[in-house]
Amino acid sequence: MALLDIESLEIHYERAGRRVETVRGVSLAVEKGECVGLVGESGSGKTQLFLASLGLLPRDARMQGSVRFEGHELMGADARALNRIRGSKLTMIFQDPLSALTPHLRIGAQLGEVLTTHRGCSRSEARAAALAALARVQISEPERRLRQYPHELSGGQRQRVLIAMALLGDPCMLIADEPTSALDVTVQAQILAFFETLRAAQPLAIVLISHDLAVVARLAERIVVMYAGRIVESAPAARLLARPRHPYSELLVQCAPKIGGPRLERLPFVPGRAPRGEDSFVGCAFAPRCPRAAPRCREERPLLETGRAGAVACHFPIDS
Amino acid sequence: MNGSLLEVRSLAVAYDGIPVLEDVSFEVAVGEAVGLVGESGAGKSTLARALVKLVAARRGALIFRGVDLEQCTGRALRALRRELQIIFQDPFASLDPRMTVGRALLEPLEIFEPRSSRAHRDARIRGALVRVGLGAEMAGRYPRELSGGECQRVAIARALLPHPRLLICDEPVSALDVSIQGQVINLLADLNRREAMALLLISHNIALVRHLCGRIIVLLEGQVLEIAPSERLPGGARHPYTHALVAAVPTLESLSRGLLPATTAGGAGGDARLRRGCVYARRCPHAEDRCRQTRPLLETVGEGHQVACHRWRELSAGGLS
Amino acid sequence: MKEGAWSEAWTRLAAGRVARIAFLIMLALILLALLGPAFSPHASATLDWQSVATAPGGSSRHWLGTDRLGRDLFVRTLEGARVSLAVAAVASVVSISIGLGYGAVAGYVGGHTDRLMMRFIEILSGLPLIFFVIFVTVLFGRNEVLLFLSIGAVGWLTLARIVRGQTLSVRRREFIEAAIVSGASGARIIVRHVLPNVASPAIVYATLAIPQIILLESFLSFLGLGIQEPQASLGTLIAEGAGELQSAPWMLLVPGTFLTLLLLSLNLVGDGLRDAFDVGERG
Repeated sequence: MALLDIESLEIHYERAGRRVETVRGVSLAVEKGECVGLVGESGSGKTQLFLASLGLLPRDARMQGSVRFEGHELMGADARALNRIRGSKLTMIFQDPLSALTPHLRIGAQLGEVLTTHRGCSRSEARAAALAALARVQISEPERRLRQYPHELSGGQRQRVLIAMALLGDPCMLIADEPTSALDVTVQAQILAFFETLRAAQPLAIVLISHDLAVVARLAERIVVMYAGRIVESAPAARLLARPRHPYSELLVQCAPKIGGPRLERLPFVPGRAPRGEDSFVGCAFAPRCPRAAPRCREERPLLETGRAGAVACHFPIDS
Repeated sequence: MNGSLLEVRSLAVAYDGIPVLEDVSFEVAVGEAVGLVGESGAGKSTLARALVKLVAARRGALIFRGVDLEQCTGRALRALRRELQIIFQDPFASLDPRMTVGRALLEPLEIFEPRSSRAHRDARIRGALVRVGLGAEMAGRYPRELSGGECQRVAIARALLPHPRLLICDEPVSALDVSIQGQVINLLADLNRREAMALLLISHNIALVRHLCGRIIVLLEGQVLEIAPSERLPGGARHPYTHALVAAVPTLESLSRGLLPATTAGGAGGDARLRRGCVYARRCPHAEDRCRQTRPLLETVGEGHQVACHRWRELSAGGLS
Repeated sequence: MKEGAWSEAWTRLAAGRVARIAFLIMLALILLALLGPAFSPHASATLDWQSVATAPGGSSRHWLGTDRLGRDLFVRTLEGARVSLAVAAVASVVSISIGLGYGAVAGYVGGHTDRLMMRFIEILSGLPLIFFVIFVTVLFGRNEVLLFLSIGAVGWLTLARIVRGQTLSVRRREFIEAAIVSGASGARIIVRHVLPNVASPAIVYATLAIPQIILLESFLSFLGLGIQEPQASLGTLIAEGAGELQSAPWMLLVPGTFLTLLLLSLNLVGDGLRDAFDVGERG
């Protein structure tokens, strides 16, 4: 049994009389201790998928399908059951670490709150645990950080605090939604390195969400590519990076930053704009931007077909 | 290149007495593309804003086309501003949410070409939109109806309207998906090559800057550590910090390499008033006592290549790890 | 040019059912005050000695009864409402124009100018507002226009503070910097970029302030400092009615109900507007 099992999840909204579809039927299973990289552009539904899993979507979201965590159905579960799971076994960190922290509370108090309310720790126990948690995320001068306010920390330190907070409940799954997109490349490298050591130390399943393949490439064992609310390719990381089968994955591989090699006259990019939830498609959603699109692609939607090395949703997948 | 367009001499900027930029000097030639790289807190955005006089300099001179901007005020400054434009990181924040794209593009025309006819202005707006690869029908849209990439193109179109000679781009693509960053960067590259418009491209990502710019300036805590020709990178960088910046870029090429030890990369900060010596000494794996005590000055190490490091000779001889 | 944003806020306002009903009631009340008296056979100042202090009811020629002097309450209430609404309109226009301009300039210019301008507001708000109005009324005699203006002149203080705060946050946005770099002058930036972006809280504030102004006017009139006989406002009518509560309760109930309905609908419209603009900002 998979740790997290999302099945045929669909999410849509009715906004100003229009149907806005953010997730259009996604099935995804994450095993215990597995690291999955989820890649897609803004608006591809990658964040919505997991917000839905945690019951964090806005109230006007309409959902269908099923999300099971350790076999328990989360869709339609009541708030108390959800609260028991999220924040302890299943936890999530977000792109903007500043807005995820309460501005007027010291770091120590915010970390301690989680422990005193969820675990019934005493204040001194909570302090010791908070200190240990900060030390665990390799933050510099953890003692001092406890007494500081969020705005006194750098972006990287804030993200570490959030990770520390997420780890307090001793989760078995961490969803990291663009955890480094707001950070400098140097700090990003540190955070990613930390995730690596974290996984080496304990069996923690991580879903790393990013628009940049290169960010997830190091950590992920499996990479899932989303486009317009659907999975277009899912494969072991090494295979997908070396031999992407969906033209969109191929473009994403090409778009990843390059530091070595000759200077390029032009940078590769995906032409056009990412589709939005309001858009509807007859054929393949990627066809308008696809360099390999054929007439069939505009008429008939390709289904996700599972083969030996992963699944791809394309009429004309690239063969090795 | 033919002559200097912008010359920054010993520029210093401070906020509330805390130095943000110290003694920054560099040049941009006519039609050149220069990259400015550094972490947040390095003073990149402050430098960009100081160049267009959105923040005041404490010391130093900004010579733009032979005129010192620091001595310029009022009308003369406004006239020079036409030729010195800037685009910002957040494509949504840099457009007035209550103005259509057309209205936003009209503004510089109203200011710089107050006597032009309506038909002429409309044609200029359409032309500007086409120039950045957007359709003329965009003019009627509001920023919130656009994607991030489209907003950034509109911002570029607006900056282009006064025919600038230098366009300063402050993290122009870091808010955009990697998949469309190339669209904007290539657009900037085209403008630079075809129209000889000089670019100052500011980014925290050295990989991005390297392809577009001929020269790269590396900034840390308000000080220039290295100015290097791009073709020397990544291998020919002389400053250990530049190497750390290069190594930190997540790429698909570097998968086989180990990730950086946390000490060499990231985590700018510390009290700027207390520091002596090299600003990188605290994090530098090669730091010695003299690095902590005396500040290294920029010295020329090759054609168009300067570095501020006490140990660059030994390190380049021994090879940087 | 700005229709897009406004019409969107309007669509949202109309989408909220409570706000929509409140808006219709508000409109109906205003129309009634403006046109109602024309449909009544009675004039507000006519004394009908045949029916002094008659209760409302089918038998009477006066739909909503009369007062001690036999004046028709329906007409008098509506004309009083007209006066109250006029006070509110003038006073809010005065306070919005001063408040918007003052707040935007203080917030945009910043520095010493801002500190000086805000200190001035603090001094003014230190003065009890009603004291000021009473002072002016006593000094210059009872004069309606003066009353309108003086209520408006004290009402702008809060708005100026709100607008200043909004301006400070708008000023930091990059589109303002972009405008400066495009060579736009300070005045142009305030008019084109700052005001449209701070206008929505101002409008919400105004709809919520109108009820306060009406109440203030009613209160002043109740104290005998506002509108003079034979002119009436909702406040004077309520004051009169309160005196006759035992013998002729309708004299309080008729203008009182009208005032309550008006205030309630204005408040609900204000709330609805605030929600509508709130979403607009986010989207």
